[in-house]
Amino acid sequence: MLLASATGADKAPVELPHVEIRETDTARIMSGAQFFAQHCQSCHSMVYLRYDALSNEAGVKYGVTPQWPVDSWNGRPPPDLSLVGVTHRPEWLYGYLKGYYVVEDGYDNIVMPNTSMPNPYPGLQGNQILNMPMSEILKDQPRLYQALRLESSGSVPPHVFNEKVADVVTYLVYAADPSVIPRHQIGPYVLIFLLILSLAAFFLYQSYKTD
Amino acid sequence: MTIKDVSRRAFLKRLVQTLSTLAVAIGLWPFISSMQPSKKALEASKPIKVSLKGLSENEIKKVLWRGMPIYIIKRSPQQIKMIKVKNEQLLDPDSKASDQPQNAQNVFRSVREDVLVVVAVCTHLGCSPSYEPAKNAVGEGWHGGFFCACHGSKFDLSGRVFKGVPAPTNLLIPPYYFMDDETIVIGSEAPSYA
Amino acid sequence: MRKLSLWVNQRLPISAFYKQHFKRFYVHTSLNFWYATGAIAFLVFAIQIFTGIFLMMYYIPTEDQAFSSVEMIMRDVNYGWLIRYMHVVGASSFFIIIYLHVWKALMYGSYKEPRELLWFSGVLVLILLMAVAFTGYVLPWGQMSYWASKVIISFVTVIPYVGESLAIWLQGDFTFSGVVIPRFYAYHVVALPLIIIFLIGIHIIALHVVGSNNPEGILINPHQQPKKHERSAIRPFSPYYIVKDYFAATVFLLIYFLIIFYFPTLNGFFLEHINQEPANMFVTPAQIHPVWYLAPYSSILRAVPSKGLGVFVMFAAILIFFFLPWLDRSPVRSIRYKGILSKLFLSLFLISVIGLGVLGLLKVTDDGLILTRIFTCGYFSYFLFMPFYTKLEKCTSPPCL
Repeated sequence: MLLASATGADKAPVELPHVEIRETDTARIMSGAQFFAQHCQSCHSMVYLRYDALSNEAGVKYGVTPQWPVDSWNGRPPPDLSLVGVTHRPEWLYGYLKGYYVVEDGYDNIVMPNTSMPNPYPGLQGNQILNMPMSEILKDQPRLYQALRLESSGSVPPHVFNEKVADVVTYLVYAADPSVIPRHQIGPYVLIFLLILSLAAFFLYQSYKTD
Repeated sequence: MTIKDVSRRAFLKRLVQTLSTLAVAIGLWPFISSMQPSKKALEASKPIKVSLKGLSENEIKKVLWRGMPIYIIKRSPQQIKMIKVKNEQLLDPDSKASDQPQNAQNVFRSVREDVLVVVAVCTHLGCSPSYEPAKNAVGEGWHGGFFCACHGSKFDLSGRVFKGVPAPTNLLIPPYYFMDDETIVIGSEAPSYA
Repeated sequence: MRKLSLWVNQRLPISAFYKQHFKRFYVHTSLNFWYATGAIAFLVFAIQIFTGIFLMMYYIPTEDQAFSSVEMIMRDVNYGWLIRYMHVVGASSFFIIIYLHVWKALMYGSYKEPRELLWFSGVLVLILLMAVAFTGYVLPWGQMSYWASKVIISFVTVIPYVGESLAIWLQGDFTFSGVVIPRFYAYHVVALPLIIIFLIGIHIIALHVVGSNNPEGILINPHQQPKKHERSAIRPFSPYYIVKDYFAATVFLLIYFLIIFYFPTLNGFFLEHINQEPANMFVTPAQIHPVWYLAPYSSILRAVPSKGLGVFVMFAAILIFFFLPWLDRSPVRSIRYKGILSKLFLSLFLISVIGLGVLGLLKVTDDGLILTRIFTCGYFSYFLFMPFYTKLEKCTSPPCL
């Protein structure tokens, strides 16, 4: 609520779809990392995951991505994605990655219009087209699936594609803070220990209080 | 206050004290651990592959492994002959008190006679000795070897230290193995199949 | 063992010190859990120093590497994430605890005679704490580090004649740039903590001369053994209040680590999302807002439609705390025995601070601005009307010992 402001860059002309991210689901993170290695890392680096064992195992490697000069891609070179999972909301990332549709000279994105990123997987997803005129979208802010419609199917059915994209988003969220895994592993022990300590301290306090 | 209350309080006191001590002891671990080599340092300490392709006799290939300068030198047949000659002036000719992997514990101090892999750090105070293959390069009767300019320590062609110099032991030989005829892996004595 | 202890104590009076300041330091039994905030604040300060030392081992204070070295700590250093999150959550916890500590003092009149200097040293610590938080906030050199501190540095430009030169001197450059990182680092890790340690020392020395205040606002001699009829009302600090503070501290740690392990950024509250983007001098974030603990003051700044006056009023909002001992003319200390007006104004103050804090984190809107101005008035009316309402109202008399 208050904090929506922190993600002020996450505006979109459509209502973003909900995506559930289970941030400690290593199987999904792994699958997302593999997808990233296959479809994303030829342009996007993950510099801060250079020594991340999970990423390396999935094939996300340091130095694979070209070092884009500042003036390449019309001054908007593909950014490093190590922290995109925290600077953008998962819903935004999910919507963005699903939001490509066909226009005259290629593809545009409904979540981030005029994006400089070309559609990374037209064959996989198939081609989407606008379901209603752009003016109407800007006026009504419909849901993403209402604004776009699949015109020709891709090599995988939509629900599989959606899963894949959700995996990538899960990986991006993980990449922004890989400590999520050890935190959830160690956390319960630390808290239970402290709970016992505070209970013991409470009873000691009680025993003096009634003195 | 009854006796029961007193003993209960004593027990609680001990419990809190024990748990707190434990908490501090365990709590210190992450901080101690944080000073260990980071993932970056661990990565840098992994074995490295070095190609020997095109290395000519008496040429030195210098590489860095774990921050240590390592010289890889191709020996000439003459030098090999020279090493085989027993030299009374050496301090530890059989490298008994020196550090080298098992597969290099011989007079050549190398896995293969013709290739020397040596850590170029003087065992005296850590300077980097220079390779002086030329005859009489360092005084009369010099048959080639390493010379440390810092305090004048001398080593033979196998990195064995001479008597009467400050360095106490022979030069260090890092663990390494030949992956094939022209490639060595520094940092491990044998390939691992982990 | 006994011999050793005797040997030591003949040379260093450890036992005597413990006796004087713990075992025979007497406090009133009405002390409640608000009084644990001091001990907890001390604990948090220790945590900040300790974790800070380990962060220093890896952090690199340069424009190029500040951001990436922090990420390296988070990812590549063993338990680096734990240490950094302890420090980050510690910073916010520090303010929570200190604000509660101040609130306690306001409620129970701990600033009143004879505790003026105790109060002074405390307010100074609060101000320095803000400075430490600000300089520390700059160090990761994220987007908010850059833009928020650029704004804060420009406060000094309102000073007539010398403002501009002062800003250039402070930032060591003609614009706000990475030159500030090493100098802010020096303030953050050495200069300011040293002064704070000194002031905390003063704070505790003063406390042990005048004794702890209490919810009843009764003045007692902390070094005089209670007489027989006083035994139920006066107790030594050790062991009674040590165990109480200890229990409170364990509860604090429980919450503290719950946040660290499960909500380390508290959804951007303790560690802002935009600050996880490296500083970029060409792109201002869509919205700049301060960290939560400085939000009330940034709100006050917004409320005033003039640059110079705004900065003046904002600083006045903090500095006015110094005058509290003389603004309060009530014959009693504690809110428990003050009249209805004091209660109303104190509530107004609390609502205003919270309101200003919330508004400070939101986008500026017209309605919001009006509310901000109302709350700013509320904030100041607590102080400015204090000499009158504390004099006018009827107080009840606190119980005698």
